[in-house]
Amino acid sequence: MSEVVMQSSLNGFVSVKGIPEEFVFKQAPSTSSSTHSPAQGHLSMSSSVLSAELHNQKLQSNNSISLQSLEPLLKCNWNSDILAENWAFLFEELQEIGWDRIEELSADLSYLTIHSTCGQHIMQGIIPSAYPEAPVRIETYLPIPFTKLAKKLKECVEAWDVQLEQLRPFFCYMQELDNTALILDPQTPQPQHIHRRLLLENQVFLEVTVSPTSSHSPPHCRFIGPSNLCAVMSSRLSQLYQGWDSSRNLLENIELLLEERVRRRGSETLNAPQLSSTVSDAVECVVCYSFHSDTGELPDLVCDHCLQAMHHSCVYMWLKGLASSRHSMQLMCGDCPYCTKPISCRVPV
Amino acid sequence: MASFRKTGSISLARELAIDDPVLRSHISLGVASCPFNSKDWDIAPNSATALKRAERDVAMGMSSPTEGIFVSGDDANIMFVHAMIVGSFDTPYEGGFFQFMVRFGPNYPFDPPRVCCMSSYRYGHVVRFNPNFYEDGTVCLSILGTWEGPSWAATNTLSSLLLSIQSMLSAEALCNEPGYERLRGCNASSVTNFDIYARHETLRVAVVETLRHAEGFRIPAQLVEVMRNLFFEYYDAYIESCDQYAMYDNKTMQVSLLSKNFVPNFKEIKKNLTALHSELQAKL
Repeated sequence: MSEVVMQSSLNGFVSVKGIPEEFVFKQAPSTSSSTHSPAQGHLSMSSSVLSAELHNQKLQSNNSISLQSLEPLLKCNWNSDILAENWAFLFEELQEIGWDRIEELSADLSYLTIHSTCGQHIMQGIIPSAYPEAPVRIETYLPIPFTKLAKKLKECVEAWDVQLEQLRPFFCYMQELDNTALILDPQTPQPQHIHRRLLLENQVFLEVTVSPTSSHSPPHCRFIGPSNLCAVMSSRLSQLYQGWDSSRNLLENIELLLEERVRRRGSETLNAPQLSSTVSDAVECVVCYSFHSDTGELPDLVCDHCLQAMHHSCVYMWLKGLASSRHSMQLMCGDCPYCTKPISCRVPV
Repeated sequence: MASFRKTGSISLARELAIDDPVLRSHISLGVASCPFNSKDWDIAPNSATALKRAERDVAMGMSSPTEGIFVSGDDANIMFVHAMIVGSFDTPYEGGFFQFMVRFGPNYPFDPPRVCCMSSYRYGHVVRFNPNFYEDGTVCLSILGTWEGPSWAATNTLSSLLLSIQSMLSAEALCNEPGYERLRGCNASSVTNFDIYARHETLRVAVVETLRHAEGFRIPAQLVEVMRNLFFEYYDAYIESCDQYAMYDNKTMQVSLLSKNFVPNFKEIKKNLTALHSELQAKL
């Protein structure tokens, strides 16, 4: 078992984001008795340190990285399915993209993470064992589908950058909304989410779906709550679409045109247990007494008689056990667990 | 109740189940509503909803207390709850400390919990406190599926259940029994006699005996503390009650639903109350 201490002598080559300058790489002891099994490396290696070393190598060996130069550097065999001679090819590609964009590279060379220039978005690449014959599989987290099949990883990253720039207005728009309004769903909005569930002060939920390519146009709206209140809100939708002003932000438009205030964020962070203290108790499902069900559902079903909110799955579980319930097609009908008046719920697939 | 800690030993509820005096009879009779005789629940895994709901119910019961209702989650098993209901004033049960064991099933809240009235038979004496509290601990309540009437709804909670039980501990208790309903407000002797019996036994068993041997009966410490504090608060009312009803002493009564005749002795109870008072005071 050998221990290698790597020193990064940066010389202004790469920016260090708070990563320590000395990185100790330990080789874990081989668990198998066979001498042929490769040793395991540390989980992931700081790429800026690696890049610095490679830079040093390059300077020493006239701008070319050879495999031989890599091995003594690391003093162990990387536990990778990729053929050894292809490692250098991978490193070349990463060098082209720019080591400052590489967030993480796994020790078994099976996946890597690249971040955007603004640092807020990430892209993941899965490196197959047949690399470089088989291309790196790209995973992006964008609200629109992104497929770029290119031989070179650099081309994919460039296409991604272009896409991110085009989506910038959308991301800013959503960020503004997330910072002001109380968002009930998704709990932690990601760049790829285009819907947001808001709470209006009349206890009706509003689910907006924003178009990523034309974010400032009126979003698609869906109301969730007691049917009489939803009907009132839906009647205001035409004035919403007609009166929409893209120079105003989403909240301003909604509050003005639907004539209802939207619940704002509190100072606490939005994780589920605290959520029930900011949203009124009437909003919890009255069967399981929580906001998010086991399957992540929200209490969308509101009884028309007692106005209590419930999860479709909770009502289904309840009605399933009653002899008086009737089931036809996708609907289960029976007595509301709260007020015993008729209620119907979706049958889960 | 943030989390329940494993004590290493089996939970209090399990201990109580092991030496339950009527468990054998429940098993042989196939009584389905006994929290101790619940083999079907013992073997079934608890669903995620049941666990979440049970924890929530206990937390709600402990954080937003109702007058006269006290809850203590079992030390090692979230599905068992020790509950204590204090009899409301202006009822024969006033100031009495009635202990219950509530058990949530693997399909809670879609199935009702199983409840046992511990005070009926576990604290040294077998007492028929109420037409709806049988001597083997069964609680007859429609929402538990053990009585006629509106059945359990998934929206019921531990708090609403205990509230329903508390409302059974009312004046003219005998009128809850089928056949005696028409006697409500009629001042019938059977009804007044039952109330006197209920009052007597409440003081004798649900106050004195329960408090005197609380540790031996393994009532959870938090509930014992509440009982002790309330005892001092209600002491004068207990004494006044004994004085008021002493006129019935040593007169044999026939009480409906009881197999034996009943001879009240409020003076004896008053003596025991005073003794208990000094005993508890010394412990302070």
